[in-house]
Amino acid sequence: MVVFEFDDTLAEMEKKLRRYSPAVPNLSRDRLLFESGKMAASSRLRTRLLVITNLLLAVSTLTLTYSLICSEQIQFKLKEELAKVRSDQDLELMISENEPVDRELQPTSYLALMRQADLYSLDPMMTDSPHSGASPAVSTPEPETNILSVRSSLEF
Amino acid sequence: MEAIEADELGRLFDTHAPALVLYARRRSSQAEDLVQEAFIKLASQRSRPLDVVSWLHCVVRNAAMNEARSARNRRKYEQRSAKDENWLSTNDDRLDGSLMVESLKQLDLETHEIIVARIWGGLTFEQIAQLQSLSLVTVYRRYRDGLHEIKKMTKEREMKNGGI
Repeated sequence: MVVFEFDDTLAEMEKKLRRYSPAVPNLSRDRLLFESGKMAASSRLRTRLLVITNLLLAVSTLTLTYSLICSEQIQFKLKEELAKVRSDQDLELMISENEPVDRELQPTSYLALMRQADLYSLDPMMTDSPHSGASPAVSTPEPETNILSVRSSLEF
Repeated sequence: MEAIEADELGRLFDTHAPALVLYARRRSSQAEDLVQEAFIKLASQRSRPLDVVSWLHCVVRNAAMNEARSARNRRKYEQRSAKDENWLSTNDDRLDGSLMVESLKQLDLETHEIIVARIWGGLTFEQIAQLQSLSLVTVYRRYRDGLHEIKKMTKEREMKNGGI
């Protein structure tokens, strides 16, 4: 530590100045203590609010994170289930394409109506008619025509 | 480190507030308010400053410098300082406070602050050097020259008054 020395006259002047004290008519100790107490109280309140806010924020973040993880898991499971169902459907489709299945006819479908009315004979395309063997139009062979006899019967 | 308790704050206020007001008077017209605010700021600190008295001087000085930057406040200050307020008081009837105040007012701003911080603030030269951002030697030299100047001025005035 540096020590400074004064001559006697300066030391005397310093001593003389120390005999005075600063005058402060407008300073209020009570006001200071009141203001500082108020500030300390508001600071405590602010700290509490800050702590509560931070806690709420932390809880919200945790909840959201947990919800996100749960939803991801659910989505993953759903995707798996969907993929499984789709693969089953594809398999069934492949089987159905390879093996013809006797499907039940709709009551208003063309085939059902045809069967009901027994009009297969009218449709030359319908070769798989259940009555095709019994139909005279189809089964009866055409009579042989003798051209000479026909010529003789013709009159001009 | 813990915050300052109310009792200690009151004690610090009683001991240092008047010197702090005198320290800031030359820069600010609202020195009392600045000192009050500095103490409130001290009370709101979470931990106690290492050197409370230096810290208070520093806060008051910075606040006074900020306030002095405003031209409006400067005008107010000029009007108020014209009222010739009593800056110093003494119980000794033989001493003339106004004579000493006049001498202090004649000093340049930094010398005034150094003398007030040293004599009434109780700061060491090292603390003042740190506070004023000056070298230790400069602080000492200014302090010594300031005392010389005060002595010279008071002597001149005493002679003048005696001559009348």
